[in-house]
Amino acid sequence: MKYIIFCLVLFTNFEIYSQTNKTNMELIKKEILDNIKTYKIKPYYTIKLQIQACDFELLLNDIPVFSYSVKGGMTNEIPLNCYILKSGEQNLKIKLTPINNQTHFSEQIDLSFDLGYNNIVGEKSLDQYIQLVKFQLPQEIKDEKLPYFEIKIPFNADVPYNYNYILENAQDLSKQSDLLNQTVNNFYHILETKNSKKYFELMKESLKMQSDVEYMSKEEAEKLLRDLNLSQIKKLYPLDNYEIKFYANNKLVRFVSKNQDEDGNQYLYKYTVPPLIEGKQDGEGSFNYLFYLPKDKEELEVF
Amino acid sequence: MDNNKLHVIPVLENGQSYNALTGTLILSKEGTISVTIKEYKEDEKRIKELEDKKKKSLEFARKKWDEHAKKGWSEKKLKENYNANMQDSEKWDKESLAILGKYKDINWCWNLVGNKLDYNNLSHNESFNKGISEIESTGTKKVLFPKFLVGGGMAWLEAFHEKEGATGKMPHGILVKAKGTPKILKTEWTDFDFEPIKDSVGFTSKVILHIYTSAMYGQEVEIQLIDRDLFTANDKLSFSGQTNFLREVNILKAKKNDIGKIEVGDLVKSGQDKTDHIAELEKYTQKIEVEVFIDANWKKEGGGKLKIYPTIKSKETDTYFEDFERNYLSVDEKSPILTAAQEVSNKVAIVGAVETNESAFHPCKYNGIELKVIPETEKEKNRIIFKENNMSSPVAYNIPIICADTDHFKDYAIELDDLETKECRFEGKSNSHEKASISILKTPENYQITKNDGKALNFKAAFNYHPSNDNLIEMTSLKMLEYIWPISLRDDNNHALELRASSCRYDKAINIIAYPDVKWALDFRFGMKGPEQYTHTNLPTYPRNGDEEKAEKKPQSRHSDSFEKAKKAGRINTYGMEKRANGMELEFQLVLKAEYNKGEEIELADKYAQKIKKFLELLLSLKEGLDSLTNIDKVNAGHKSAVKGIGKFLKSPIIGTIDYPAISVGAKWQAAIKDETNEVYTDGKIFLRFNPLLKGDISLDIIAAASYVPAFGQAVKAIEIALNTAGAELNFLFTIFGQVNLEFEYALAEKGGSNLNLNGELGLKLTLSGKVKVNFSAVIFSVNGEIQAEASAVSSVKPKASIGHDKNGTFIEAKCDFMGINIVCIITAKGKNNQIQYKDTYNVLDRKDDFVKGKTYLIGS
Repeated sequence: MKYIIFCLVLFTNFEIYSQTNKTNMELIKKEILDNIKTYKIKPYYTIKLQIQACDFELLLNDIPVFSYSVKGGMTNEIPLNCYILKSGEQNLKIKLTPINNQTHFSEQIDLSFDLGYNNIVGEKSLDQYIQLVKFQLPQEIKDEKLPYFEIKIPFNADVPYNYNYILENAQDLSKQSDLLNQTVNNFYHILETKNSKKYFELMKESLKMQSDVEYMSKEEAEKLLRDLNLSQIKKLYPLDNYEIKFYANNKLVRFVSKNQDEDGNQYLYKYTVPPLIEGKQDGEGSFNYLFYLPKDKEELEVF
Repeated sequence: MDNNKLHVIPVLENGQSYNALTGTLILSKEGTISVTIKEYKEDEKRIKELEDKKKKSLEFARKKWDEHAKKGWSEKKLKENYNANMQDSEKWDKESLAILGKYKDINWCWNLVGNKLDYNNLSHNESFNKGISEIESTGTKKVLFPKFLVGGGMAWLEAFHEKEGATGKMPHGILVKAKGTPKILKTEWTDFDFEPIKDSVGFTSKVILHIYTSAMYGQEVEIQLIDRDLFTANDKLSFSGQTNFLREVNILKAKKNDIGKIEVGDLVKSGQDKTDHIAELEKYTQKIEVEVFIDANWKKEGGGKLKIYPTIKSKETDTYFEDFERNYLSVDEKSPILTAAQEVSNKVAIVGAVETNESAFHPCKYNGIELKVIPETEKEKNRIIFKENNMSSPVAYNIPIICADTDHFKDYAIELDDLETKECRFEGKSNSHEKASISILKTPENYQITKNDGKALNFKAAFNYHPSNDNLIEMTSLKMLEYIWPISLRDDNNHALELRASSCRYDKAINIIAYPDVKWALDFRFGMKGPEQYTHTNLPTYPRNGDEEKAEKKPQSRHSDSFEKAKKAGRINTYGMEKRANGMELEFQLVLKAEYNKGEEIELADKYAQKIKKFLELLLSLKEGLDSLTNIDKVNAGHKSAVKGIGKFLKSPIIGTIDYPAISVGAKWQAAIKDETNEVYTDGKIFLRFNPLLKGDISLDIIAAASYVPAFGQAVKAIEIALNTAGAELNFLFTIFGQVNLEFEYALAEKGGSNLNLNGELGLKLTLSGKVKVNFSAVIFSVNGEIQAEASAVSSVKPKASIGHDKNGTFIEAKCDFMGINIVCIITAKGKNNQIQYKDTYNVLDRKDDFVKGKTYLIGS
């Protein structure tokens, strides 16, 4: 009998703890949802890519957007608003390197993309696509079989918001190695304990910004928050040896594994989620945060 | 004086046979042959008679002596009477001695024949005693045929009076050869000082390969040098560009590496001083010596280190010799180079030094056969059917001629060069070649013999278009299509004027075969009447790799003069095809014209249309096959019924189309003859233009098509779950783009076929894009990394085709694989700060090898 009581006590404790946690999270969520603004013009910038046979890395304004080792062919449409912090000139950079440790590109290499935007009409619908940049890797460059290829394309964007202050006010991280190393472990601990409360605290500014720059409706923002629930994690993988990459004048960092996976990614925080269709493979998840240290703060937050 | 010439006759032992017609004694192995002399054999009877008489006479004289002595005759009287009785006997004795005396000076020739029997080179063999004492005492002369001469190469044995000299001709001497069981005994590699090579040698070394044989004298072999590899397949080394080379086994002077290791035989040393009548001998052995240059190019074929050994195949039996030990020559690029004073190159063939056919030396012969064209023209010339040389020649010749029809006979003659039949072995008999060397075995109705004196034959020839029917123009037009490939004759038209040119040396069959003088012209066009095109505006334009196709040119043929003429005359014939499974109606245009008898023309398109349909089917299957493999046909059919049922235009899963091929063919051809080889071939050109053979400009909306094609369903479902976009509008496109063209001129005179270099390819691509903003940022589609090794096939369709011709006509062979598409559907739900990736394989389109595979005759009966 004693034994049973003991169990009940434990259970009750858990309930109570969870309740507290939930309350804090609800507050954060409310803050994010309340932040949603309404703009008259809502340009939604994307880049539509087709890539073949190369390792590919895309940076916008020196913020890493996407990288992938494309062994066959890939088509991809990537939203860019999160990396466009204010109106004006934006700098797009694409780096191509040969796949599989080859010294030169194979003849199958190809890259083409369209960069432009749609204005969002109502909450979901997209107006006509307005093309700003069209690029096709020239045949001469394919024929040359280069060892490396990089292209920089500046373009002008017009957005109704301005988050430039986040980076301007952020502290230089290049000489903060103790803090950075500490952050790696702290963050792993949050994931390991599924500490959603702490997690949301670190994410708060990032979520606020994302829901704003992507012109999310209340429903969309709710879904974004819902999807971030750590409970979807089925299995968390151990930490690899890592290194720190600096971006945007040392204001942003990313912790990356020293080991590359088969797609060329160096994710440090890796986990699995259940399959999409029963019988198929588990999904492989990874957190790939950019961190920054806000002015007057002592703990890194997610950008 | 001819009647003073002698005749050698063999006395057969076990395992020996004698062919009197060719004068050849054939042994089953080495051994002793026994011969006698025909003249002596006849004289021997007389000698025996005389001896008998002498004996009787002596007996009689002795008997009388005894009788008379008993009667008490005086010694003197007895002697007188005895001498009188012996008088005849002495006369006979003298006669007998005189006869034997005739043979005292007999010379014996016992020489190797090689490839020529020339009396100038024949003389007494000093290892033989002159005269016939051996025959007198034992009845035959015995001559050893040694082991090292076994194999087929011949020796000549002749007895002759010293004053007469040797003739080198049957029937005065005999040819001797021995068959035996051919064997390779061993091989050895030496340098040019005949020192066996023990260590490895460098590239560009000069070496000798010794091949020791048994019972193979005169036989030809095919040799191949092989580089032995332990772990991979052996490499065949090329010998002056050939994979193998020809050599002949001969009798070669024994070298220092031969003595003591291999059986050698003695031959009388040539060119020696004969005054002492002592035969000096030299050692010889049966072998092949191959001078080999270690080609630096072999490095490419076998690597920097080689271990070379020969394989040897008998030309006669076409089988490899196996029971001999391999002897390797090691070659290493780091080893020293063996040099030699002389120039050494890898010769492809060294043969013809030893004749093994005994008839080749018969004096009853001709040394050439010629076909004369009367009158000879620029186009048609006199031709050599056969000319004597040291090479072996066939026993039957098929000689093509090209003729007009039986209303236009043409003159020809067959002549034998340098015909000499006086010494025919059938002399005096009815089949003597002196009477008739050319005989006629069969004269079909399209040949007329105008003269045959046995030495030259004149005849007229024509081509019979309808051998079993009346000779009517109408019949010709009906039957003409049978001769569309004029070198391929119907069985019942393969009638030849069959002749035989006989002599003791050569006996050749000659078949004169007439081919029609018809010249053909074909022009053919196929193009789509109207494109089957579906369009709608719901789908986005998406960047593509494919080049924008230039405006399609109208297919044209370079050989279009007949087409143009037909057009002017209002005679263009258009033919329909059976309605296609996809509902399309197709048609093509065709002109086919035969010109014969120098100017008469027949138009035969109607009769040939069916044939072209078969040819077209192969090419149409490229488009229709791809339609079916990519499910475009299913979607199409589903779309059509949906449209029909609802009665209004729905969102179509297809935009664009895979085109039917646009084909034009122009060809002109006729039978022709290669004067040098007397081969009949088809001369002419075919111009092919497929523009396009295959052209795709199509997008298939997989999401819209998923309801028609379940294969797409699963992948689409997975994407929808991952993107959580139920109700959202996605575009997931399978696109086919690009074009395969061909322009090719094919010359029929060339042997073999060619690959049609189909220019361009049809690319396949899957793309996905959203029409709505989503939180997730990326969906990646990647063709399966493992299949990537076959990348171009996965991502494109490239048909292969070749054109060729054989005795039945010109054909096109086409082949096309469809690699299918397995996509590793990597769905990356990528948020700003995290990503979840699902990596699953979906078989979107099945692989199908050879979805087009076939061979059809474009021109063929």
